[in-house]
Amino acid sequence: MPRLEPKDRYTLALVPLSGCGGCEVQALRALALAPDLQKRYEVVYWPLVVEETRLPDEVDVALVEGLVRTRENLEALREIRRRARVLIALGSCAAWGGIGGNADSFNHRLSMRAIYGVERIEESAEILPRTFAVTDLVPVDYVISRCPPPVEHIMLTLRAIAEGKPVKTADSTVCSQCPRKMKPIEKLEFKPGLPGPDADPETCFLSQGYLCLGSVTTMGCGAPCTRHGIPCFGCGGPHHEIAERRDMDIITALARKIATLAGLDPVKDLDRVVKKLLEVYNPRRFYVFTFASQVLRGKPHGFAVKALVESRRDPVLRKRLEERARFARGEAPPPSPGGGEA
Amino acid sequence: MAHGEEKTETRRRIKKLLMTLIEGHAFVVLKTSPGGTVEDVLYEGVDTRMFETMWLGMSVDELPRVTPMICGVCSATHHVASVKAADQARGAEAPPEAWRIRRMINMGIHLNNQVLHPLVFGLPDFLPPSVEKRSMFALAQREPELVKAGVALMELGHRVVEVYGGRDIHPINGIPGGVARKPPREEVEKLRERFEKHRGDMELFAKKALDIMFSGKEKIDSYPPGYTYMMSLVGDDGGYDIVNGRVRIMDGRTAAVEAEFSDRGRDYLNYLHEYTVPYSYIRMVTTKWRAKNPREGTIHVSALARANAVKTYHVEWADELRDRAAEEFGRPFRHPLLSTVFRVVESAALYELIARELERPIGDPIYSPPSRDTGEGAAVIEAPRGTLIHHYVAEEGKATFINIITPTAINAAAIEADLRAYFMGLNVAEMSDDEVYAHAAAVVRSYDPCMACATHAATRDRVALRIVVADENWKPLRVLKPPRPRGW
Amino acid sequence: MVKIRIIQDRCKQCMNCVRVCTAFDGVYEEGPDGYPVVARPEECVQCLICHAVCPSNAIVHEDYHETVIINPDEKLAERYRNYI
Repeated sequence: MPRLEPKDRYTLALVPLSGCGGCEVQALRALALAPDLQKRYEVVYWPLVVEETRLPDEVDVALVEGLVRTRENLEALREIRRRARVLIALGSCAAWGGIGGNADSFNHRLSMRAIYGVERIEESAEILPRTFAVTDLVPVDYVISRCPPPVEHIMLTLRAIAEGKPVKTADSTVCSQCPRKMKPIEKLEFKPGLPGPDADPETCFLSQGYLCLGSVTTMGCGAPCTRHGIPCFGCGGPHHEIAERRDMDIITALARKIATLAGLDPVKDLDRVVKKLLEVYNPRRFYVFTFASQVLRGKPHGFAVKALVESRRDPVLRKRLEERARFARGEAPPPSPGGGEA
Repeated sequence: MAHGEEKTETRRRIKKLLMTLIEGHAFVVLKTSPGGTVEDVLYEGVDTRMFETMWLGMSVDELPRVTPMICGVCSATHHVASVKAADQARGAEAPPEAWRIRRMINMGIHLNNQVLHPLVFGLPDFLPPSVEKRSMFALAQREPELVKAGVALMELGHRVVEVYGGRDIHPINGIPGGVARKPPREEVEKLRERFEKHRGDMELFAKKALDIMFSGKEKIDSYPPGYTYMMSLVGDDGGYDIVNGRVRIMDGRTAAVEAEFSDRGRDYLNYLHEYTVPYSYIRMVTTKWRAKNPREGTIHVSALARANAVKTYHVEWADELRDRAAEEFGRPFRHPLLSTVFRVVESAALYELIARELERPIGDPIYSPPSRDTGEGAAVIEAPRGTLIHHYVAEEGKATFINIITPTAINAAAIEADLRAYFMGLNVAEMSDDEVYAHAAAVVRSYDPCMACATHAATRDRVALRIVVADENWKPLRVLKPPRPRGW
Repeated sequence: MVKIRIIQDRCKQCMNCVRVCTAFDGVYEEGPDGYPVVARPEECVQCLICHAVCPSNAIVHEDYHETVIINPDEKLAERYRNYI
């Protein structure tokens, strides 16, 4: 763990890469709500709140938000790593690639054509052929995961760093904070889509046959989604054991839990349950926030890579992209539902 | 090399300014003649995250979970727009009680944003230029009460989204056909008490913020409007409504209604035209009838356009504040910097509207199941920064076409037009870099551009000011090392 | 012997551990309060499948590292212990 020399006031920088700014808002709230942090940290670079466009040569603590999408992002990231003593990856995008990683589902050139009608925006930043999570490119000292990271987590981390104390880490999953009751699955069946308010509000979504990533996602949010009747999408990223161990992947870890709930053997019947899950759900659905992460792409089972390849090779989706490209160029109206053009 | 330098003196130059104190990252590009006279101004968004393709082939029901991540500042608005579009695509009619919850989600984020912008981006601009590193923290030292009240209001806005939407950022409560859960009564009650308690803060914030801005009247007047049209959503009764209603395109000079269209379905395609420019990742928007000459059809959307379009805010106090602004500046409101004034006015209106809504308990039903899985839906709603459009086509429950037009994408062309109105013909070689930067930033910030939205992405660059020497066709020849001005 | 602890704050009472245990008689049993209890810790063969199927990571095998080092040579064991 990196240690800062004791000082009254540390310098703080926040470097946003390709992100949505939600983490910045949370960091701003953390600073605005904790006067003691305002005393301990001096913001030296943060385009959102300070009129300062030059990164200082040395920073004590730097937060990085967003994923690496363009060459400028990459250079900015390397630069801040060089200058910062402590680098914190803030939010799911920096930690796991986040939602932006889903753009890798398609070739970036096809995607650009589909959105802009051209392959390259000539006079602006250069797009990299794939997206990267910050943690895959440079060593980081802390990861505050989740989309968006809770204000308290940012406060606790910054406070602990300022005081030179170790930071508490999450060890459990979202399930431990979810009030729903887990019951054995009677019939192994999965329902696509989201449950409406007519689903049982007391029972676990897995027991009801809906896909919920709570049991494989790291804790810390207080399970607001499942409390509101929406299954977990895994915005916190996988539990650290799944990330660390070679033999575990999001799909297999989840299938083991589902199989045991259904009274099957978690080892022998694993393949069956995985197959059943993949029949109903698109494999991308398990990696909504982790699609860009090299950690999960490098797993020996390769479910993430398979998902990537499948969506890239899908002829139907390619046709959709071409349709959209025609719309983007203004040559055709958007496709009407049920095939054909309006 | 003397020879080389001599040559560059006769060349054209491109000046790039990185904007700060906005959400996300953007450049203003000034193209100047050899003498330094501005010949063209461009507004550049620097990245894309490809939200319009990434969810193709995935469930359309999940889009309201995914699209909020376009923007972390106004995520709740994206959520509501997404739900409204997915409703139509799935053939579901959300019950009125569900709409009340959704409206509250949108109003909560509007309250937060309309306070956040003046506080963090808008008012620091009105600080004297002598203050170093102008920011909210600098403002807090001069006006501690104002900032304290503002921070409390921002938190209140977030709390409303959290109670009604499930989470404060990236809410989740909306699903096609309604909402997933009613807010728990005790939470609503707690929120109601907090709204009672902070009423004084709202009054103090509105009064102080407006005073600061009215005292800066010359500054507001000095930036001429350059846009051609204004666009806003107007409630069915002609009043302030940020969720449902009709969309109006008005003339930028007289505020006369030029066109009106439905906030649902494909209708928007008949009036708006998107086009790609070679220098920016923002898809610019113009009106359909100016598609041949897009620079003449620039549209301004923001609190300013809403202030011109709506008859009343449904809140007397807010209407009075608007009348006060009308006395100072005259109607229709046109100067781009005035937007910040109306953000404050809107925050006052929203505070009252939310407080009223909290009094009424929410009834049943809140959900009606979708009737089909193949369909099309588009939704136009008001984001804090202006009009937001989501358009989905679904087949067998899977999204097959997604189009999203964000307020800043619409505003980008208007920002360019305003910058042109100010800078064209000026000689920037005679101005100090700080000065050029301050003027460009003032115009850009007044729009509260949300670059994460506009490009569905954001990025940054280490170089604040980049000067590129270009030939007659603006082909870059050489990048000049920028001077190191202090305090940049 | 391993010490097994179930963190009740985290436990979801799904009884996955009871169902899955590979030991002869099963280490876990459903307790009277609905939480699983560690009834026969001496049976545990430390396959740790219960960790894999627990939805909330509520099972902790304490002193686990010390028991896996089976080496007659005390000095060698000492060295490995430092590694772990």
